[in-house]
Amino acid sequence: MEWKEQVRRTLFQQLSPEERDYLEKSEKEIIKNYSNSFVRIFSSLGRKLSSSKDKLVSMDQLDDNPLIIDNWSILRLTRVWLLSLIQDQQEPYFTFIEKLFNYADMQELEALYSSLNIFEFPKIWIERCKEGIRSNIGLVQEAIMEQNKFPATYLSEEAWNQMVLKSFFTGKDIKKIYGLDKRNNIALQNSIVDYIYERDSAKREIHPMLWELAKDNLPDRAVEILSQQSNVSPQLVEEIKK
Amino acid sequence: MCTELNRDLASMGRPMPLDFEVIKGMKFVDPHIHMVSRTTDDYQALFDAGVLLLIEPAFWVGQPRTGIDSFKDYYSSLIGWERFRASQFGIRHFCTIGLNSREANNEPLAEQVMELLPHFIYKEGVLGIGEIGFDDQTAAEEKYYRAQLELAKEAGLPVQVHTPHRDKTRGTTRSMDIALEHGLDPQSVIIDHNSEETVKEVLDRGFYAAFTIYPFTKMGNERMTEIVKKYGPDRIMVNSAADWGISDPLAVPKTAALMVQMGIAKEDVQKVTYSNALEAFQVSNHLDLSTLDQTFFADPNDKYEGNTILRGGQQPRINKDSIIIS
Repeated sequence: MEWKEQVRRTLFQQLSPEERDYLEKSEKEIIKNYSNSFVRIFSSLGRKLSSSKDKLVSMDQLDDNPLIIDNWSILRLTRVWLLSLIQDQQEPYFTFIEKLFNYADMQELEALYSSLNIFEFPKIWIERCKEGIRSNIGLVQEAIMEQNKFPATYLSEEAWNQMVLKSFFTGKDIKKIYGLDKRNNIALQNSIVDYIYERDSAKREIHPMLWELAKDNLPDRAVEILSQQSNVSPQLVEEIKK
Repeated sequence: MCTELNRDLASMGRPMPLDFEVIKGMKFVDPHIHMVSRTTDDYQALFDAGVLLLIEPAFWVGQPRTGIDSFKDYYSSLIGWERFRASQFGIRHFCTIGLNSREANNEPLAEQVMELLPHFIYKEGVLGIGEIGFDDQTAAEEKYYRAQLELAKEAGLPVQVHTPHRDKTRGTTRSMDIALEHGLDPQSVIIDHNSEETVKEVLDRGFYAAFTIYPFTKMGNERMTEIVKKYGPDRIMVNSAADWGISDPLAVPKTAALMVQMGIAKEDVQKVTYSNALEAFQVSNHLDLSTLDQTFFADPNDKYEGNTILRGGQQPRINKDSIIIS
Protein backbone atom coordinates (compact mmCIF):
# COMPACT_ATOMS: atom_id res chain seq x y z
CA MET A 1 0.00 0.00 0.00
CA GLU A 2 1.26 3.44 -0.81
CA TRP A 3 2.42 5.48 2.21
CA LYS A 4 -0.17 8.19 1.61
CA GLU A 5 -2.94 5.67 1.82
CA GLN A 6 -1.43 4.23 5.00
CA VAL A 7 -1.24 7.62 6.60
CA ARG A 8 -4.81 8.34 5.59
CA ARG A 9 -5.99 5.07 7.09
CA THR A 10 -4.06 5.58 10.32
CA LEU A 11 -5.48 9.07 10.68
CA PHE A 12 -9.03 8.16 9.95
CA GLN A 13 -8.94 5.42 12.58
CA GLN A 14 -8.17 8.03 15.23
CA LEU A 15 -10.78 10.62 14.33
CA SER A 16 -14.35 10.98 15.45
CA PRO A 17 -17.03 10.34 12.77
CA GLU A 18 -17.69 14.08 12.36
CA GLU A 19 -14.00 14.82 12.02
CA ARG A 20 -13.69 12.04 9.46
CA ASP A 21 -16.55 13.44 7.42
CA TYR A 22 -15.00 16.87 7.54
CA LEU A 23 -11.65 15.56 6.32
CA GLU A 24 -13.20 13.54 3.52
CA LYS A 25 -15.00 16.62 2.33
CA SER A 26 -11.82 18.69 2.64
CA GLU A 27 -9.82 16.09 0.73
CA LYS A 28 -12.20 16.34 -2.19
CA GLU A 29 -12.12 20.12 -2.16
CA ILE A 30 -8.33 20.23 -2.16
CA ILE A 31 -8.00 17.72 -4.97
CA LYS A 32 -10.58 19.60 -7.01
CA ASN A 33 -9.15 23.08 -6.52
CA TYR A 34 -6.53 23.49 -3.83
CA SER A 35 -5.90 27.19 -4.39
CA ASN A 36 -9.44 28.06 -3.35
CA SER A 37 -9.79 25.86 -0.33
CA PHE A 38 -6.43 24.94 1.11
CA VAL A 39 -5.57 27.94 3.30
CA ARG A 40 -8.90 27.86 5.10
CA ILE A 41 -8.79 24.10 5.69
CA PHE A 42 -5.14 24.10 6.71
CA SER A 43 -5.37 27.05 9.12
CA SER A 44 -8.64 26.23 10.83
CA LEU A 45 -7.83 22.55 11.28
CA GLY A 46 -7.12 22.90 15.01
CA ARG A 47 -10.68 24.02 15.57
CA LYS A 48 -12.18 21.35 13.33
CA LEU A 49 -10.30 18.49 15.00
CA SER A 50 -10.77 19.84 18.50
CA SER A 51 -11.40 16.44 20.10
CA SER A 52 -8.50 14.52 18.49
CA LYS A 53 -5.87 17.05 17.55
CA ASP A 54 -3.54 16.48 20.51
CA LYS A 55 -3.66 12.67 20.43
CA LEU A 56 -0.30 11.17 19.56
CA VAL A 57 0.21 8.75 16.73
CA SER A 58 3.12 6.58 15.56
CA MET A 59 3.47 4.42 12.46
CA ASP A 60 5.61 1.47 11.53
CA GLN A 61 8.75 2.54 9.74
CA LEU A 62 8.56 1.06 6.28
CA ASP A 63 11.49 1.95 4.05
CA ASP A 64 9.39 3.48 1.33
CA ASN A 65 7.70 5.89 3.72
CA PRO A 66 9.29 9.30 3.25
CA LEU A 67 8.11 10.27 6.74
CA ILE A 68 9.20 9.10 10.17
CA ILE A 69 6.03 9.31 12.21
CA ASP A 70 6.80 8.76 15.85
CA ASN A 71 4.60 10.42 18.46
CA TRP A 72 3.23 13.05 16.13
CA SER A 73 0.09 14.89 17.10
CA ILE A 74 -2.97 14.17 14.97
CA LEU A 75 -2.98 17.85 14.05
CA ARG A 76 0.55 17.67 12.68
CA LEU A 77 0.00 14.44 10.75
CA THR A 78 -3.29 15.63 9.30
CA ARG A 79 -1.69 18.83 8.06
CA VAL A 80 1.17 16.89 6.49
CA TRP A 81 -1.30 14.60 4.79
CA LEU A 82 -3.31 17.58 3.50
CA LEU A 83 -0.11 19.05 2.07
CA SER A 84 0.53 15.80 0.24
CA LEU A 85 -2.73 16.29 -1.66
CA ILE A 86 -1.55 19.44 -3.42
CA GLN A 87 -0.48 18.86 -7.01
CA ASP A 88 0.58 21.47 -9.52
CA GLN A 89 3.33 22.64 -11.88
CA GLN A 90 6.56 23.61 -10.20
CA GLU A 91 6.17 27.37 -10.23
CA PRO A 92 2.64 27.75 -8.86
CA TYR A 93 3.31 24.87 -6.46
CA PHE A 94 6.39 26.57 -5.04
CA THR A 95 4.75 30.01 -4.81
CA PHE A 96 1.72 28.59 -3.04
CA ILE A 97 3.61 26.58 -0.44
CA GLU A 98 6.15 29.34 0.19
CA LYS A 99 3.24 31.59 1.04
CA LEU A 100 1.99 29.03 3.55
CA PHE A 101 5.40 29.20 5.22
CA ASN A 102 5.38 32.98 5.27
CA TYR A 103 2.01 33.29 7.02
CA ALA A 104 2.25 30.25 9.26
CA ASP A 105 1.67 30.00 13.00
CA MET A 106 3.91 27.73 15.06
CA GLN A 107 1.95 24.51 14.64
CA GLU A 108 1.60 25.18 10.92
CA LEU A 109 5.35 25.71 10.67
CA GLU A 110 5.90 22.40 12.41
CA ALA A 111 3.72 20.61 9.86
CA LEU A 112 5.23 22.45 6.90
CA TYR A 113 8.80 21.64 7.86
CA SER A 114 7.83 18.06 8.68
CA SER A 115 6.61 17.82 5.07
CA LEU A 116 9.87 18.82 3.38
CA ASN A 117 10.49 15.25 2.31
CA ILE A 118 7.07 14.78 0.75
CA PHE A 119 6.92 18.03 -1.19
CA GLU A 120 7.12 17.76 -4.96
CA PHE A 121 10.34 18.96 -6.67
CA PRO A 122 12.52 18.26 -3.61
CA LYS A 123 15.53 20.34 -4.65
CA ILE A 124 13.60 23.60 -4.63
CA TRP A 125 13.06 23.17 -0.86
CA ILE A 126 16.72 23.09 0.13
CA GLU A 127 16.86 26.84 0.83
CA ARG A 128 13.65 26.64 2.86
CA CYS A 129 15.13 23.82 4.91
CA LYS A 130 18.23 25.92 5.65
CA GLU A 131 16.01 28.84 6.61
CA GLY A 132 14.16 26.62 9.07
CA ILE A 133 17.41 25.48 10.67
CA ARG A 134 18.10 29.15 11.44
CA SER A 135 14.80 29.42 13.35
CA ASN A 136 14.90 29.89 17.09
CA ILE A 137 11.56 28.20 17.66
CA GLY A 138 12.04 24.76 19.18
CA LEU A 139 9.11 23.18 17.35
CA VAL A 140 10.51 24.26 14.00
CA GLN A 141 14.02 23.07 14.78
CA GLU A 142 12.72 19.70 15.92
CA ALA A 143 10.52 19.26 12.86
CA ILE A 144 13.65 19.48 10.69
CA MET A 145 16.37 18.02 12.85
CA GLU A 146 14.52 15.10 14.39
CA GLN A 147 12.88 12.30 12.44
CA ASN A 148 13.08 14.02 9.08
CA LYS A 149 14.67 12.35 6.07
CA PHE A 150 15.00 15.52 3.99
CA PRO A 151 18.21 17.03 5.43
CA ALA A 152 20.28 13.86 5.11
CA THR A 153 19.09 13.35 1.56
CA TYR A 154 19.37 16.86 0.15
CA LEU A 155 21.54 19.20 2.23
CA SER A 156 25.07 20.05 1.15
CA GLU A 157 27.83 18.99 3.51
CA GLU A 158 28.17 22.52 4.82
CA ALA A 159 24.46 22.88 5.57
CA TRP A 160 24.28 19.40 7.06
CA ASN A 161 27.15 20.13 9.42
CA GLN A 162 25.54 23.39 10.45
CA MET A 163 22.35 21.52 11.30
CA VAL A 164 24.09 18.83 13.32
CA LEU A 165 26.08 21.37 15.33
CA LYS A 166 23.00 23.46 15.94
CA SER A 167 21.13 20.41 17.16
CA PHE A 168 23.79 19.99 19.87
CA PHE A 169 23.69 23.68 20.77
CA THR A 170 19.92 23.65 21.09
CA GLY A 171 19.64 20.43 23.08
CA LYS A 172 17.96 18.22 20.52
CA ASP A 173 17.53 14.47 20.76
CA ILE A 174 20.62 13.69 18.68
CA LYS A 175 19.75 10.03 18.16
CA LYS A 176 16.66 11.11 16.26
CA ILE A 177 18.68 12.81 13.52
CA TYR A 178 18.15 10.68 10.44
CA GLY A 179 21.33 9.77 8.56
CA LEU A 180 23.68 10.94 11.31
CA ASP A 181 26.25 8.18 10.77
CA LYS A 182 25.94 8.08 7.04
CA ARG A 183 26.52 11.81 6.62
CA ASN A 184 29.37 12.01 9.15
CA ASN A 185 32.43 13.74 7.64
CA ILE A 186 35.83 15.13 8.52
CA ALA A 187 34.78 18.77 8.44
CA LEU A 188 32.02 17.98 10.93
CA GLN A 189 34.43 16.05 13.11
CA ASN A 190 36.84 19.01 13.14
CA SER A 191 34.05 21.37 14.20
CA ILE A 192 33.03 18.94 16.91
CA VAL A 193 36.56 18.78 18.27
CA ASP A 194 36.59 22.58 18.42
CA TYR A 195 33.30 22.46 20.29
CA ILE A 196 34.66 19.85 22.71
CA TYR A 197 37.62 22.14 23.48
CA GLU A 198 35.31 25.07 24.10
CA ARG A 199 33.04 23.08 26.42
CA ASP A 200 36.06 21.74 28.27
CA SER A 201 37.55 25.22 28.76
CA ALA A 202 34.22 26.47 30.06
CA LYS A 203 34.01 23.43 32.38
CA ARG A 204 30.67 22.56 30.86
CA GLU A 205 29.37 19.10 30.24
CA ILE A 206 30.29 17.40 26.94
CA HIS A 207 27.50 15.52 25.20
CA PRO A 208 28.50 11.83 24.82
CA MET A 209 27.28 11.75 21.22
CA LEU A 210 30.00 14.28 20.32
CA TRP A 211 32.63 11.63 21.03
CA GLU A 212 30.68 9.07 19.07
CA LEU A 213 30.70 11.30 15.99
CA ALA A 214 34.30 12.48 16.21
CA LYS A 215 35.86 9.24 17.42
CA ASP A 216 37.80 8.53 14.21
CA ASN A 217 39.43 11.92 14.17
CA LEU A 218 40.43 12.90 17.69
CA PRO A 219 43.69 14.79 18.30
CA ASP A 220 45.71 13.98 21.43
CA ARG A 221 44.27 16.89 23.39
CA ALA A 222 40.75 15.61 22.77
CA VAL A 223 41.71 12.07 23.79
CA GLU A 224 43.13 13.52 27.01
CA ILE A 225 39.83 15.34 27.68
CA LEU A 226 37.92 12.16 26.91
CA SER A 227 39.81 10.24 29.56
CA GLN A 228 38.45 12.65 32.18
CA GLN A 229 34.82 12.17 31.19
CA SER A 230 32.41 10.31 33.41
CA ASN A 231 29.43 10.15 31.06
CA VAL A 232 31.05 8.12 28.27
CA SER A 233 30.84 4.34 28.05
CA PRO A 234 34.08 2.50 28.82
CA GLN A 235 33.72 0.59 25.53
CA LEU A 236 33.81 3.81 23.56
CA VAL A 237 36.89 5.02 25.44
CA GLU A 238 38.60 1.68 24.73
CA GLU A 239 37.64 1.82 21.08
CA ILE A 240 39.04 5.32 20.66
CA LYS A 241 42.29 4.63 22.48
CA LYS A 242 43.07 1.67 20.23
CA MET B 1 -1.16 51.14 24.41
CA CYS B 2 1.16 53.45 26.24
CA THR B 3 1.27 57.01 26.73
CA GLU B 4 3.15 60.18 27.23
CA LEU B 5 4.98 60.19 30.51
CA ASN B 6 3.79 62.75 32.99
CA ARG B 7 5.42 61.85 36.21
CA ASP B 8 3.51 63.40 39.02
CA LEU B 9 5.06 62.35 42.28
CA ALA B 10 1.93 63.28 44.16
CA SER B 11 0.04 60.64 42.19
CA MET B 12 2.44 57.85 43.11
CA GLY B 13 0.51 56.83 46.22
CA ARG B 14 1.69 55.70 49.62
CA PRO B 15 4.15 52.86 49.50
CA MET B 16 2.70 49.59 50.72
CA PRO B 17 4.74 46.44 51.13
CA LEU B 18 4.18 43.77 48.50
CA ASP B 19 2.79 40.63 50.05
CA PHE B 20 2.07 37.81 47.64
CA GLU B 21 1.26 35.42 50.50
CA VAL B 22 -2.36 36.57 50.43
CA ILE B 23 -2.77 35.52 46.80
CA LYS B 24 -0.90 32.23 47.03
CA GLY B 25 -2.66 29.54 45.02
CA MET B 26 -4.74 32.06 43.07
CA LYS B 27 -4.62 32.00 39.28
CA PHE B 28 -4.30 35.00 37.01
CA VAL B 29 -4.73 36.05 33.43
CA ASP B 30 -3.25 39.29 32.11
CA PRO B 31 -5.55 40.08 29.18
CA HIS B 32 -3.46 42.96 27.87
CA ILE B 33 0.34 42.92 27.96
CA HIS B 34 2.95 43.59 25.26
CA MET B 35 5.56 40.92 25.85
CA VAL B 36 7.58 41.77 22.73
CA SER B 37 8.78 44.75 24.78
CA ARG B 38 9.53 42.79 27.94
CA THR B 39 12.40 40.68 29.24
CA THR B 40 12.76 37.10 30.38
CA ASP B 41 12.87 38.38 33.99
CA ASP B 42 9.31 39.53 33.46
CA TYR B 43 8.20 36.14 32.20
CA GLN B 44 9.71 34.47 35.25
CA ALA B 45 8.14 37.01 37.61
CA LEU B 46 4.74 36.57 35.94
CA PHE B 47 4.94 32.83 36.32
CA ASP B 48 6.03 33.06 39.95
CA ALA B 49 3.11 35.35 40.72
CA GLY B 50 0.58 32.89 39.28
CA VAL B 51 -0.09 34.32 35.81
CA LEU B 52 -1.00 31.27 33.71
CA LEU B 53 -2.11 32.91 30.52
CA LEU B 54 -1.68 36.25 28.86
CA ILE B 55 -3.12 38.06 25.88
CA GLU B 56 -0.92 40.30 23.76
CA PRO B 57 -2.86 42.71 21.59
CA ALA B 58 -1.16 43.93 18.42
CA PHE B 59 -0.16 47.55 19.04
CA TRP B 60 1.94 50.49 18.02
CA VAL B 61 5.53 49.45 18.64
CA GLY B 62 6.75 52.88 19.73
CA GLN B 63 7.58 54.30 16.33
CA PRO B 64 5.56 54.14 13.15
CA ARG B 65 6.08 51.27 10.75
CA THR B 66 6.83 52.39 7.20
CA GLY B 67 6.06 49.26 5.23
CA ILE B 68 3.69 46.33 5.12
CA ASP B 69 6.39 43.76 5.77
CA SER B 70 7.00 45.22 9.22
CA PHE B 71 3.36 44.54 10.03
CA LYS B 72 3.56 41.06 8.59
CA ASP B 73 6.65 40.19 10.60
CA TYR B 74 5.16 41.68 13.75
CA TYR B 75 1.97 39.63 13.44
CA SER B 76 4.05 36.56 12.64
CA SER B 77 6.09 37.08 15.77
CA LEU B 78 2.93 37.25 17.88
CA ILE B 79 1.85 33.79 16.71
CA GLY B 80 5.39 32.46 16.42
CA TRP B 81 8.45 33.48 18.31
CA GLU B 82 6.77 35.33 21.18
CA ARG B 83 4.33 32.50 21.72
CA PHE B 84 7.18 30.04 21.84
CA ARG B 85 9.19 32.27 24.17
CA ALA B 86 6.27 32.42 26.60
CA SER B 87 5.86 28.64 26.52
CA GLN B 88 9.45 28.24 27.65
CA PHE B 89 8.47 30.00 30.85
CA GLY B 90 5.33 27.93 31.38
CA ILE B 91 2.97 30.68 30.26
CA ARG B 92 0.26 30.30 27.65
CA HIS B 93 0.43 33.13 25.16
CA PHE B 94 -2.49 34.32 23.07
CA CYS B 95 -2.89 37.48 21.04
CA THR B 96 -5.35 39.69 19.28
CA ILE B 97 -4.50 40.92 15.79
CA GLY B 98 -5.46 44.30 14.42
CA LEU B 99 -4.46 47.67 13.03
CA ASN B 100 -3.95 50.06 15.93
CA SER B 101 -5.53 53.50 15.86
CA ARG B 102 -2.35 55.55 15.50
CA GLU B 103 -1.21 53.73 12.40
CA ALA B 104 -4.71 53.78 10.92
CA ASN B 105 -3.82 57.39 10.10
CA ASN B 106 -1.32 56.28 7.46
CA GLU B 107 -4.01 55.41 4.95
CA PRO B 108 -1.95 53.95 2.10
CA LEU B 109 -0.32 51.56 4.56
CA ALA B 110 -3.57 50.93 6.45
CA GLU B 111 -5.16 49.71 3.22
CA GLN B 112 -2.44 47.12 2.82
CA VAL B 113 -2.73 46.07 6.46
CA MET B 114 -6.45 45.46 6.00
CA GLU B 115 -5.62 43.03 3.20
CA LEU B 116 -3.15 41.28 5.45
CA LEU B 117 -5.41 40.80 8.49
CA PRO B 118 -7.55 37.92 7.14
CA HIS B 119 -4.37 35.86 6.76
CA PHE B 120 -3.74 36.07 10.49
CA ILE B 121 -7.02 36.18 12.38
CA TYR B 122 -7.78 32.48 12.05
CA LYS B 123 -4.38 31.30 13.23
CA GLU B 124 -3.66 29.22 16.30
CA GLY B 125 -3.22 31.54 19.27
CA VAL B 126 -5.32 34.40 17.89
CA LEU B 127 -8.31 35.09 20.12
CA GLY B 128 -9.76 38.13 18.40
CA ILE B 129 -9.28 41.52 16.77
CA GLY B 130 -7.36 44.11 18.77
CA GLU B 131 -6.37 46.55 19.93
CA ILE B 132 -8.36 48.79 17.65
CA GLY B 133 -10.36 51.98 18.13
CA PHE B 134 -9.66 55.66 18.52
CA ASP B 135 -6.59 57.64 19.46
CA ASP B 136 -6.89 61.14 17.94
CA GLN B 137 -10.45 60.35 16.85
CA THR B 138 -9.74 61.18 13.19
CA ALA B 139 -11.80 60.18 10.18
CA ALA B 140 -9.17 57.62 9.16
CA GLU B 141 -9.25 56.03 12.61
CA GLU B 142 -13.01 55.71 12.36
CA LYS B 143 -12.81 54.21 8.88
CA TYR B 144 -10.47 51.41 9.91
CA TYR B 145 -12.18 50.85 13.24
CA ARG B 146 -15.40 50.22 11.34
CA ALA B 147 -13.69 47.99 8.76
CA GLN B 148 -12.17 45.86 11.50
CA LEU B 149 -15.47 45.57 13.36
CA GLU B 150 -16.93 44.17 10.17
CA LEU B 151 -14.06 41.72 9.95
CA ALA B 152 -14.64 40.61 13.56
CA LYS B 153 -18.34 40.16 12.92
CA GLU B 154 -17.70 38.09 9.82
CA ALA B 155 -15.17 35.90 11.62
CA GLY B 156 -17.21 35.67 14.83
CA LEU B 157 -14.33 36.90 16.95
CA PRO B 158 -14.21 39.10 20.08
CA VAL B 159 -12.89 42.66 19.78
CA GLN B 160 -10.49 44.44 22.12
CA VAL B 161 -11.12 48.19 21.90
CA HIS B 162 -8.48 50.76 22.84
CA THR B 163 -10.00 54.00 24.12
CA PRO B 164 -8.23 57.34 23.70
CA HIS B 165 -6.25 59.23 26.33
CA ARG B 166 -7.53 62.60 25.23
CA ASP B 167 -11.24 63.23 25.30
CA LYS B 168 -11.66 59.75 26.74
CA THR B 169 -15.28 59.79 27.79
CA ARG B 170 -16.59 61.00 24.45
CA GLY B 171 -14.23 58.61 22.61
CA THR B 172 -15.45 55.67 24.68
CA THR B 173 -19.12 56.44 24.05
CA ARG B 174 -18.44 56.82 20.36
CA SER B 175 -16.53 53.52 20.22
CA MET B 176 -19.53 51.71 21.72
CA ASP B 177 -22.05 53.50 19.49
CA ILE B 178 -20.15 52.40 16.41
CA ALA B 179 -19.77 48.79 17.60
CA LEU B 180 -23.51 48.56 18.16
CA GLU B 181 -24.20 50.24 14.85
CA HIS B 182 -22.24 47.44 13.15
CA GLY B 183 -24.36 44.87 14.90
CA LEU B 184 -21.75 43.49 17.30
CA ASP B 185 -22.91 41.77 20.45
CA PRO B 186 -21.59 43.89 23.36
CA GLN B 187 -20.76 40.61 25.15
CA SER B 188 -18.05 40.03 22.55
CA VAL B 189 -16.53 43.51 22.87
CA ILE B 190 -13.99 44.43 25.52
CA ILE B 191 -13.74 48.18 26.07
CA ASP B 192 -10.27 48.82 27.44
CA HIS B 193 -8.54 51.49 29.53
CA ASN B 194 -11.66 52.52 31.46
CA SER B 195 -11.76 55.05 34.25
CA GLU B 196 -14.22 56.09 36.96
CA GLU B 197 -15.76 58.34 34.32
CA THR B 198 -16.48 55.65 31.73
CA VAL B 199 -17.19 52.47 33.66
CA LYS B 200 -20.86 52.97 34.37
CA GLU B 201 -21.90 53.51 30.79
CA VAL B 202 -19.79 50.61 29.54
CA LEU B 203 -21.35 48.17 31.99
CA ASP B 204 -24.87 49.56 31.54
CA ARG B 205 -24.65 48.98 27.81
CA GLY B 206 -23.61 45.36 28.29
CA PHE B 207 -19.93 45.55 27.25
CA TYR B 208 -16.96 44.13 29.12
CA ALA B 209 -15.01 46.84 30.96
CA ALA B 210 -11.24 46.37 31.15
CA PHE B 211 -9.03 48.54 33.34
CA THR B 212 -5.36 49.14 32.79
CA ILE B 213 -3.33 49.39 35.96
CA TYR B 214 -0.48 51.53 34.66
CA PRO B 215 1.55 53.86 36.85
CA PHE B 216 1.26 57.63 36.50
CA THR B 217 -0.97 57.78 33.43
CA LYS B 218 -3.82 55.28 33.78
CA MET B 219 -5.57 53.57 36.70
CA GLY B 220 -3.96 52.99 40.05
CA ASN B 221 -4.92 49.81 41.85
CA GLU B 222 -6.31 51.58 44.92
CA ARG B 223 -8.81 53.33 42.68
CA MET B 224 -9.44 49.99 40.98
CA THR B 225 -10.31 48.41 44.28
CA GLU B 226 -12.87 51.13 44.91
CA ILE B 227 -14.41 50.53 41.48
CA VAL B 228 -14.90 46.83 42.16
CA LYS B 229 -16.40 47.64 45.55
CA LYS B 230 -18.82 50.01 43.88
CA TYR B 231 -19.76 48.08 40.71
CA GLY B 232 -19.18 44.47 41.74
CA PRO B 233 -17.01 41.93 39.90
CA ASP B 234 -19.14 41.11 36.85
CA ARG B 235 -17.85 41.95 33.35
CA ILE B 236 -14.87 43.81 34.85
CA MET B 237 -11.25 42.78 34.30
CA VAL B 238 -7.86 44.27 35.03
CA ASN B 239 -4.71 44.23 32.91
CA SER B 240 -1.23 45.72 32.99
CA ALA B 241 -0.84 46.88 29.38
CA ALA B 242 2.87 46.62 30.25
CA ASP B 243 4.97 47.68 27.27
CA TRP B 244 8.09 49.71 26.46
CA GLY B 245 7.13 52.49 28.88
CA ILE B 246 7.38 52.57 32.65
CA SER B 247 4.77 49.97 33.41
CA ASP B 248 4.33 47.01 35.72
CA PRO B 249 3.94 43.50 34.33
CA LEU B 250 2.81 42.33 37.77
CA ALA B 251 -0.10 44.77 37.85
CA VAL B 252 -2.70 41.99 37.82
CA PRO B 253 -1.38 39.91 40.75
CA LYS B 254 -0.51 43.08 42.68
CA THR B 255 -4.02 44.41 42.22
CA ALA B 256 -5.42 41.05 43.32
CA ALA B 257 -3.26 41.17 46.47
CA LEU B 258 -4.45 44.68 47.24
CA MET B 259 -8.08 43.75 46.69
CA VAL B 260 -7.78 40.78 49.04
CA GLN B 261 -6.14 43.00 51.66
CA MET B 262 -8.90 45.56 51.23
CA GLY B 263 -11.52 42.97 52.01
CA ILE B 264 -12.90 42.00 48.60
CA ALA B 265 -13.90 38.32 48.55
CA LYS B 266 -11.32 36.11 46.86
CA GLU B 267 -14.00 34.70 44.60
CA ASP B 268 -14.74 38.19 43.30
CA VAL B 269 -11.05 38.99 42.95
CA GLN B 270 -10.66 35.88 40.80
CA LYS B 271 -13.44 37.07 38.55
CA VAL B 272 -11.74 40.37 37.77
CA THR B 273 -8.22 38.95 37.57
CA TYR B 274 -8.88 35.57 35.94
CA SER B 275 -12.21 34.18 34.85
CA ASN B 276 -13.92 37.23 33.31
CA ALA B 277 -11.06 37.63 30.86
CA LEU B 278 -11.20 33.95 29.86
CA GLU B 279 -14.92 34.30 29.29
CA ALA B 280 -14.77 37.61 27.40
CA PHE B 281 -12.07 36.41 25.01
CA GLN B 282 -13.81 33.01 24.64
CA VAL B 283 -10.58 31.20 25.44
CA SER B 284 -12.44 27.90 25.84
CA ASN B 285 -12.81 27.83 22.02
CA HIS B 286 -9.05 27.45 21.84
CA LEU B 287 -7.99 25.58 24.93
CA ASP B 288 -9.45 23.09 27.38
CA LEU B 289 -9.62 25.35 30.43
CA SER B 290 -9.30 22.40 32.80
CA THR B 291 -5.72 21.97 31.55
CA LEU B 292 -4.80 25.58 32.18
CA ASP B 293 -3.13 25.11 35.52
CA GLN B 294 -1.30 21.96 34.46
CA THR B 295 2.09 23.34 33.66
CA PHE B 296 4.37 20.94 31.96
CA PHE B 297 7.62 21.61 33.66
CA ALA B 298 10.69 19.58 33.53
CA ASP B 299 13.12 19.95 36.37
CA PRO B 300 15.66 22.41 34.97
CA ASN B 301 18.42 20.32 36.49
CA ASP B 302 17.15 17.12 34.96
CA LYS B 303 19.47 15.80 32.31
CA TYR B 304 18.57 13.79 29.29
CA GLU B 305 21.51 12.34 27.43
CA GLY B 306 23.71 15.03 28.85
CA ASN B 307 21.37 17.84 27.86
CA THR B 308 19.25 19.99 30.06
CA ILE B 309 15.63 19.46 29.20
CA LEU B 310 14.03 22.76 28.34
CA ARG B 311 11.51 21.70 25.79
CA GLY B 312 8.22 23.23 26.80
CA GLY B 313 9.61 23.56 30.26
CA GLN B 314 11.18 26.09 32.45
CA GLN B 315 14.20 28.09 31.51
CA PRO B 316 17.10 27.94 33.96
CA ARG B 317 17.30 30.75 36.49
CA ILE B 318 20.21 33.06 36.93
CA ASN B 319 21.25 33.76 40.48
CA LYS B 320 20.37 37.40 40.95
CA ASP B 321 22.24 37.60 44.25
CA SER B 322 25.56 36.68 42.73
CA ILE B 323 27.96 38.77 40.67
CA ILE B 324 29.22 35.55 39.09
CA ILE B 325 27.82 34.70 35.67
CA SER B 326 28.49 31.14 34.63
